Amino acid sequence: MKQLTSVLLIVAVLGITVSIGGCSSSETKASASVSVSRVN
Amino acid sequence: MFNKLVVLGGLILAVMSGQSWAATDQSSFTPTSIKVPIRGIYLHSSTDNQGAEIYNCSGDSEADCLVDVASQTELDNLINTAEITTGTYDQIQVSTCKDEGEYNAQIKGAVTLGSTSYVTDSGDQPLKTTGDADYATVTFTGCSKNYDLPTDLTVVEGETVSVKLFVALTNIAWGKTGAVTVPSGCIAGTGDSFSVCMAYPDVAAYIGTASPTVETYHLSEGSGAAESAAAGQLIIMFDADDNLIGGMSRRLFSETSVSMGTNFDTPLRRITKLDGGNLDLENFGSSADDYYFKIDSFPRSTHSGNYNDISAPTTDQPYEAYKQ
Repeated sequence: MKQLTSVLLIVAVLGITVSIGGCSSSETKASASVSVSRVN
Repeated sequence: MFNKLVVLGGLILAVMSGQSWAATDQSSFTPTSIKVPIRGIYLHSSTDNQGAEIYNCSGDSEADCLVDVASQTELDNLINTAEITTGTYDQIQVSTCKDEGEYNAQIKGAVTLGSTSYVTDSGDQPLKTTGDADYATVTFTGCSKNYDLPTDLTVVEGETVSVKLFVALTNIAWGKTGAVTVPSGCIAGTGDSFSVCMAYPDVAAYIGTASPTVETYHLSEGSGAAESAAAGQLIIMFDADDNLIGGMSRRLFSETSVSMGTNFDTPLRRITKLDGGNLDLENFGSSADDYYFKIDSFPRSTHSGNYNDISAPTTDQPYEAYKQ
């Protein structure tokens, strides 16, 4: 029973880790600069 | 390459779908000042309709966000860097109003009709013969437009990308003695004595820091037609390596211009370079999936050719193109 509990706990923790990793990935950032030029 | 340009304000094109009419009572001109409300600029994905804001006007009203697009000094005030979400983008979206459904642009300049010189005005008539020029206000339907990037842009974490927008303003407006030529982008004076119109101030979008080469062609209807009869213009931009950036079609009015049997009111929706250097192009029609005219092989020089109009897609319509 203790072993099953431990496995479930590990899965749960891993699940949370994976979930956090996914959120973190979707929120990664970059930068964009914009400028406008008249050409004629 | 530019076949995915999406016109969110599709009504803009629909209301400007009349044919190109030229006459001796109207003439094109290049305004000295064009104030357009630029409310926001976004990288946009047409796949999932997601955007990343890279410029936002902090003002709450149209007046707070007016930018004189004829002034490079004012355009430089738009320069901005913003944090964006990583992803793949294929378009640039330029927003000119919120939920109003339309916006006003202000034009100031001078135009000659017949032998009389006029300047724009804010009064009962948009043109006058005496005094200093003032702003005539024209109204455009629609609040934003999406412009295809030359290639899809994938932005990864930590990267900084540079987006450049190019505006071409030569002969973008026209004055007329009489009623407006098209419903959108125009203003008529009392009794329709005078009117002033402006083509949609479209941009070409580019990723990088290029200074484009601009090629302008004036088109006349019919085989052997003179340059003075030109009633349409093609404006096409290339980067330093001669790669296509984008382009637009516009009306051209002069005292001697002769109307063409197609429409020059829209950006180019598709343009590709063929082996040998000619261009395969077509402009937008009354919707994002349609066209007004197309030319299968357009040499980049003064030439004679044929175009196809949407109303008779298999019939060759001869034209003369004059490179400016």
